[in-house]
Amino acid sequence: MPRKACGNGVRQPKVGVILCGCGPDMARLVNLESLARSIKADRRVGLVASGSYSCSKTEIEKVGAAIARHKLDRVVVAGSSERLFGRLFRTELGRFGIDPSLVGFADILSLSALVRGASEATVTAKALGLVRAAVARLAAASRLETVETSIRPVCAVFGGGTTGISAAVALASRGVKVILIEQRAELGGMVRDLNVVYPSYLPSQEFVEARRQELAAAGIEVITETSPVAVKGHVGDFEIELAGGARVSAGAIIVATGASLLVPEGLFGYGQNPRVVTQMDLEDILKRGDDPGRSIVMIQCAGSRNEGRPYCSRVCCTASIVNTIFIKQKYPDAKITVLSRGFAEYAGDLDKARQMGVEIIRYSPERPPRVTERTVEVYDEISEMETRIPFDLVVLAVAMVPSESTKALAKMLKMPTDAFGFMIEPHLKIRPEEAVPRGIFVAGCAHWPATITESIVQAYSAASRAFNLITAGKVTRTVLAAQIDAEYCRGCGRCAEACQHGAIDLVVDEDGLKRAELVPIACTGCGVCVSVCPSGAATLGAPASAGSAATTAMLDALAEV
Amino acid sequence: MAIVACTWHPLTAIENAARDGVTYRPDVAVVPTKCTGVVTVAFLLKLFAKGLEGVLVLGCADGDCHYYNGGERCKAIVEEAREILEISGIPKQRLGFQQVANSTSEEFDKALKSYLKQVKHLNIGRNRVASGSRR
Repeated sequence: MPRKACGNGVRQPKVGVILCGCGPDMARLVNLESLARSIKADRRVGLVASGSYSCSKTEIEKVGAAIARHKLDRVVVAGSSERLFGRLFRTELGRFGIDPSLVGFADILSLSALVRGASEATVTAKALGLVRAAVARLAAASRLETVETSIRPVCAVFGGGTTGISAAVALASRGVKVILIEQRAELGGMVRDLNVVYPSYLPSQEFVEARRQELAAAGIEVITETSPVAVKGHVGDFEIELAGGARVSAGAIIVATGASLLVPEGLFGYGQNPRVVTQMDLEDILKRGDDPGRSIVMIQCAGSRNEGRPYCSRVCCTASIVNTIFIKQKYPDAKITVLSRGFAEYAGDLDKARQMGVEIIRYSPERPPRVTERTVEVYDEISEMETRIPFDLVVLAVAMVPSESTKALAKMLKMPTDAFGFMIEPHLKIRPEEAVPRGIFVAGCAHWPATITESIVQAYSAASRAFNLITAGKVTRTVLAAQIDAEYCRGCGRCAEACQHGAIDLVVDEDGLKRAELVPIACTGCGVCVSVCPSGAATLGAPASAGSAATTAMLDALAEV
Repeated sequence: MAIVACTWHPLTAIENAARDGVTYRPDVAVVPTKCTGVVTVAFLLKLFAKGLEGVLVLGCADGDCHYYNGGERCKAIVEEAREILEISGIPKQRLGFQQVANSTSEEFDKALKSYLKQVKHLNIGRNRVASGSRR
């Protein structure tokens, strides 16, 4: 992003200061007249426009005329906070030719005037420091250009499970071209391996087939048996390289690569005793129509809600209960005992299972069940008694863990993960279903164990976010973005490593030297690159010396207090 | 003394503190920074070089950063700067770091009080008056 020279390149730009009294309040606390005089004494200040309600339409009109008269291109608003009045002043002053990036703020009201217990002189000196700091920073600042990039009207969806299919169908039904990439030969993800799905008790095949038909009807391009090996580019223009060499271009990406299940090696005799299986193995037995045996013990929370994996896998309570009901319906004489550490509140059909005669025993993690050759011994927390249950089959509800492809993608896309490898959103409440890099969205079990219902809801949420981006057609960026001066960059790559937004590429220039290159559209202006740059090549809006000058100005004023 | 505050939770908390009438010492200069993830060791040391007796850095709580992990980054940077201060013979308690969990004035009040408690024995702000030195 080229930096524009300020003014004619010779004359130092003058800064206009709008000094607002914020109504009658400030005048009681600050000596506004002396403050205005002191501000004017700064040679960088070309104009001080005092007012008592500078945010009002009439006063802004007046200030606008004065700005034109003094040929100013930058303004400091000294009064209230940027948070409250930033947008108003940037828009209004924009009408008089002031660039939004050249409007600075000095919050003298809340950082000085309203701080109780100080004398008028102290408050005024502090206010002056704040204004001088803002003036120093702004005088050195350069106008930032608006970066714009068009969005390729295509969305790539990684993962053809319930989440991926739901997101793809939602987007395609709104007219967006979708390319779905699935690692396996068949679509359906983890649900395809289930026997029946809750709450309809429909065979999972039917569920998946219905979704697959929706997919076909929507005309979605499906690429199976491959997965992304490299993702380049940025929001609006991603280049995805698939295993096998194929390439896909997309404007946005939805990651729905899901989770897989823990292999509970050594847990409750799994691996040694062939009668100990996982809930997913049981699904397979039931799907094939095989007899699971007449005496079944299910153990919940196998490998989860412990020290290493403290989270709840969310789906296993419902999955286990659904299986008990299915077995009871088919073999009413089956004796099923579920050893649980307490059921999740949303676990479906628990009461129905109880009425059908499924026995539920509560165990504690301190006294876990012990599985021997043909019996399970467990301490019942409720009756406070040791119980011994003979079994034909022990079924473990194992923890959900991130799938290999989720882990690989997190690395490839520089997506932050939690301690267990699940992808995490930059902010659960402000930016749900979004990834840290712009233009990438996450849904379903890739970012946390989720039930089928939750996965679908998240898929719709991600799809609507991707839709908003794609239909906007373009992304613009006018706010502060970092700049990297090629002359000072020595190509160490620390910034590229530190940047979580994928906004810095390490490229090799024509001289064969490594150099960091900014992708302005992906930059959020957080400034981390500036703080890690050892050579001062990365800057944020104004050179680092301006920030230092601003701090000095403020501290000097404070020293007078 | 100076407070280096991130513009998101911490600065909003300071603004709210002013509006809610929270009383705190008037010699506190607030230095807003876009995100505490930008703060460098050199910057923090420079503040002390300019004669400040205390610096409190206020960042957002872990996992609450508007960008990604500013607060967590800053924690490590402050730790590094404190080590250098200690080597230079400046009590490391003078450089404080607190994470502000939300934008309420109570959070700011709590963070500042906890810092001031930590430096109580150092008489921050009173040394200058006693010695009559100018910064």
